[in-house]
Amino acid sequence: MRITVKGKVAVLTGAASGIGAALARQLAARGASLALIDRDQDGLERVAAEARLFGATVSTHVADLADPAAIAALPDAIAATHAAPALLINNAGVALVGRFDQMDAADFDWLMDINFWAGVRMTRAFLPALRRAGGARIVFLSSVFGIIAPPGQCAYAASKFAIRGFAEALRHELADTPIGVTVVHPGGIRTNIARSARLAAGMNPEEAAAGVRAFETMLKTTPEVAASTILRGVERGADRVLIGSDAYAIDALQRLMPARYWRPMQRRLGKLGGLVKAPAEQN
Amino acid sequence: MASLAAHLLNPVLRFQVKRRLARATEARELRRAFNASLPGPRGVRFTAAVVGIAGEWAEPAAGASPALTLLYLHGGAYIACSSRSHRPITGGFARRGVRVFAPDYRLAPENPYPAALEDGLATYQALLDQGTAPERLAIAGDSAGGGLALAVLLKAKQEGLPMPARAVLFSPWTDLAATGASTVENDKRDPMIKGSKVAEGAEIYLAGADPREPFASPLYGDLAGLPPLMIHVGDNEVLRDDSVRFDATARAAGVTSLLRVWPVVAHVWPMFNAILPEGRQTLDESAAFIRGAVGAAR
Repeated sequence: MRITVKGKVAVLTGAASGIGAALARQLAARGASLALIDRDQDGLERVAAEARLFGATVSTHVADLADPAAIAALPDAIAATHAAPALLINNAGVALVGRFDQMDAADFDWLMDINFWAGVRMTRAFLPALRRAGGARIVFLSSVFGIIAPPGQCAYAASKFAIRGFAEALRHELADTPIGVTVVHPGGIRTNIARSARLAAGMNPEEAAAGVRAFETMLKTTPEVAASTILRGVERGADRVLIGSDAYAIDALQRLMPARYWRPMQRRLGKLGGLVKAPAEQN
Repeated sequence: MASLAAHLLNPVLRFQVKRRLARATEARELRRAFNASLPGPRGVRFTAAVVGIAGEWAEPAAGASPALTLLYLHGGAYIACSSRSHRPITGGFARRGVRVFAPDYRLAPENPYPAALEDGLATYQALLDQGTAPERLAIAGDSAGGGLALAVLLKAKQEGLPMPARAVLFSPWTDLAATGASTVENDKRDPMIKGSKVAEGAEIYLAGADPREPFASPLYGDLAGLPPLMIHVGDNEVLRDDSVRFDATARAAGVTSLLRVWPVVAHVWPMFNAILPEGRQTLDESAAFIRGAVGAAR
């Protein structure tokens, strides 16, 4: 199913920063109406004001996506301003730095709530409205860590594999309906997801800061480029969207070495690879 | 990701433009290096006119006259190019529902600073005098024309004229003192301009004036009160920091500014929109930004 963005209503989570903010601006420039969701009210209002410069009708909804009740209330809140949405973009995501044995169970749950369950709950909440829109598309932001799973990313990779699995099964279920499903696997995008990552409870902050700095050198693609790649995929009706040459390389490597892809990667990563590996005596 | 066309165009520009520009020392040579005559788009009517000074209108050939008027100032280092050479951009806006007037402001070295500024301001004043409502008026420009558009805004503000509704800048040249780190960092990467050429070109326009004079280098001006800005620049350009720093300075002064940094593309890539997807996308977004001044998106 192909849809043009122009004149449609788009529901977007994580709209206050990063890829979400860039998506909001570009959706507005393409003539969409927007329902923007984030827990950061100031950021949300700033992005909304920018989108309105393009003449877009924009509503803002401050909500914590870890809260199921907040998600359940969104369809009615959005229907107060907009017609039935034709585009749902599950963009919100958080990161958690540290090894599994350093991680609190509560932190793991928090990450799964936002990166996985929010996508499932948003889909449940908006599916009836999306059906009414005629043609619609649901977009899920997975990651290259929904293709490979590096050490130090137990929770993050689990959430990104999970959302991919959910999305792909949903796509096949909806194959005979006018609702399409796109899964996006961005490589390193220059956003503050790494800097604003929660640290695992047992992690040394200095060690973590060094890891974040090393990680940030791998963030090559800008949010604007990521956003325009996603919207091109949406308008093309793409099932799968990779962003950045690093994402293509990782995808190819995983096909070549389905289980042992981490070895050549670790050699390239050096310090970062060592940081998240459990010391030998603990093995 | 950048298009294949963008990757293919860059070596052509390197050979056709950068090489010639690097050797050019006189205005005549610069003009020859810059003056590529690209065809204007179809479906657009170009009409010679005098609005303050001589130039040309670009309007959709069919349909109702657009509600929005754009004053477009062409680039060319204040030395080269004309309303005609920039038809791919002025015509591109016309096709996207905006009527455009592009004045042929006086060029250096025959007419150095502040001749271009005077002519740009005269056109802005004339558009207002014709009854164009400022809330339906936008200003735009590329490269030197982008710096000139911003200088015209600063001068208009100083003279108490109303601000237009929007300003759009493509790779604007905002710092004639050439102090941006990108003039060095991107010297090799930029497919069109060598970093050392920036200060050299500025001398011809300035003819002894201070390169930090705000009406020549708007980066050094008081930016408070400017209208919402949309700035597009290429990541590999020697002029990248002219945009990045202007955006930061404007936002610090309370101005709404949207900065778009595009990978791979060359200086003022909307000129090549006939073959470059990024060029079309940049014009699409810029026209939508200007049309947004009158509300509902179309």
